[in-house]
Amino acid sequence: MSRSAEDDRAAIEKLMRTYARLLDERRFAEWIDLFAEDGAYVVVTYENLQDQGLLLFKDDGREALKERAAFVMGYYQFERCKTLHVVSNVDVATPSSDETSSTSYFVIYRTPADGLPRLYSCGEYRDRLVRRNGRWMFQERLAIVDNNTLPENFTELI
Amino acid sequence: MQARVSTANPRHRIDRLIYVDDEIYHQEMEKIFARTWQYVGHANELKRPGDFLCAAVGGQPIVICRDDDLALRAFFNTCAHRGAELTSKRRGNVGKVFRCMFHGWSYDLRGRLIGVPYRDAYGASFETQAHGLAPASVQTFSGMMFVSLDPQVESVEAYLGEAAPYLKKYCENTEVIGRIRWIYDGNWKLWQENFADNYHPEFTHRWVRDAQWGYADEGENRQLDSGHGLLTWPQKPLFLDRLAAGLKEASGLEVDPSKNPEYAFPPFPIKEEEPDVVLSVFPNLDLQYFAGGAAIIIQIKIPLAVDRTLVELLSLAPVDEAREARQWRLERSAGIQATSGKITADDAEALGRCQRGMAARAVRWSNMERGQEPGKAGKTRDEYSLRSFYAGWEQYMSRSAAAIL
Repeated sequence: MSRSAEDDRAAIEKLMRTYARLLDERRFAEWIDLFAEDGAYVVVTYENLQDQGLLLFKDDGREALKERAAFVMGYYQFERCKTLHVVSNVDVATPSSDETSSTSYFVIYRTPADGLPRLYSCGEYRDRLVRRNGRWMFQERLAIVDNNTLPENFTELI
Repeated sequence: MQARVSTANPRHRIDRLIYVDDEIYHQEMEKIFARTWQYVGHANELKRPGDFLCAAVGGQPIVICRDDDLALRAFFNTCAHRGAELTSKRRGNVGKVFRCMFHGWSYDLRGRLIGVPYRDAYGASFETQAHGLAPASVQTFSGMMFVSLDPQVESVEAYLGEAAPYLKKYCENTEVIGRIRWIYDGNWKLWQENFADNYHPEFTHRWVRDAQWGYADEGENRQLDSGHGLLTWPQKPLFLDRLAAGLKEASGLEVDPSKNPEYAFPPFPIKEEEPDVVLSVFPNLDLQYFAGGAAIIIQIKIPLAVDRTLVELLSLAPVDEAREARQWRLERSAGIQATSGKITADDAEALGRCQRGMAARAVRWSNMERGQEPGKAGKTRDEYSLRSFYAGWEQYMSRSAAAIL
């Protein structure tokens, strides 16, 4: 059976939900596999995107993504907190062969040691997606955080 | 006032009350933040008449603008009428006038009151000259704008003293390519101290322990005049194999940092013979100059409360830099910085722990004794630079509050 655009859209939306769940379940090694081998994870504040484009950081390629995962898997000298990534307003452009793009909103809550969930960040994902070996993955996930001011700990993955 | 810091040999003790006491905090606002020069941005951020940016200096709202003659002016950001901020935007262009959105009073770019709606209700004796914007002092040094609330303050170049040549060398002919801000629940002095402290990095930051292994074995820690301090060490290549080993030990992941573009050479020549430098300028500025100019970073610590501080980081770049180099800087200059960064995130953790730990009032004193030789400089991990900050602190805190308050 040939693949329809609806199948692709459903697969991509599932990819978005999987991304959120892997982070919230701290399955960081599997998070890496959601990206293409040469995929990139980039975070920028909305303010800097409107200005000159100064990034918080850019993780470019598998080794950079692995290093990011290693930081949150124990290289940082402080514990992870429970996070909750809510993804909504997903708009996927009609895939043309094996490539497409998508935008969506994220709202992330973080529950620190005092036990009170707090809004950690919110903003927009702008994604470029590719399908390789039958699987959709991120060629680039750009997370634009609404924060003009970061909290004291901004190391949980967006 | 009871001595809070002891900077005389051989015991160098800091009274932890200075990090937790509201009364001392308010005195710092009056005696330090209203008396000193505060960096607020680069002069080349304000180009045309009416360009402005806002800053908080000692908790007081200030607006800095270019007037119609392109001179820089600083005013207290408050309408002479009933106090409203003239602008709530952080930066922009105000045109030819500041017009208050509350009752429409208008001021020209030199702060003179030029418009009062329905003025006759004030009677014939109303004098506009008596209702202009209250000025603050603004001066530039090497393209950096500084504001002071003290009309008696010395020139900014005299104030910067021995820090001046370093700011000139590293900041002249630069421009701001972006700002990143964060808030932490701790006293402002903790963050300023952290950039006069080269003892902590190999412990606080695993990335420094591994990728910059042994960096602090050579280098210098120096007291400059007037509360300023200087850390320098030789620039060295990164130990990516040690980084890989550290990442694997902590996470179990096999990572090859040599394939991470973050660690590739930048697309412009870096001056390998230049030392890495962290300059701290009293009371709340630091400048980081790393890897022969690959990163030029300024931080300003803006006190919000005794245990709450906003840090503003500015990434600088040479003016007229080539496009490829500028793009690299936009992508790479902040990766280790800020509470999202591979290094600075650890500082926020450490300093948060200090602020919480200092609620234990039974333990009164902190120790800053490292470096027992007399004089002004010592080894990288010594604390001449920290004691320099507290010599400045003590000097300002023992004076009277600024006359304008």
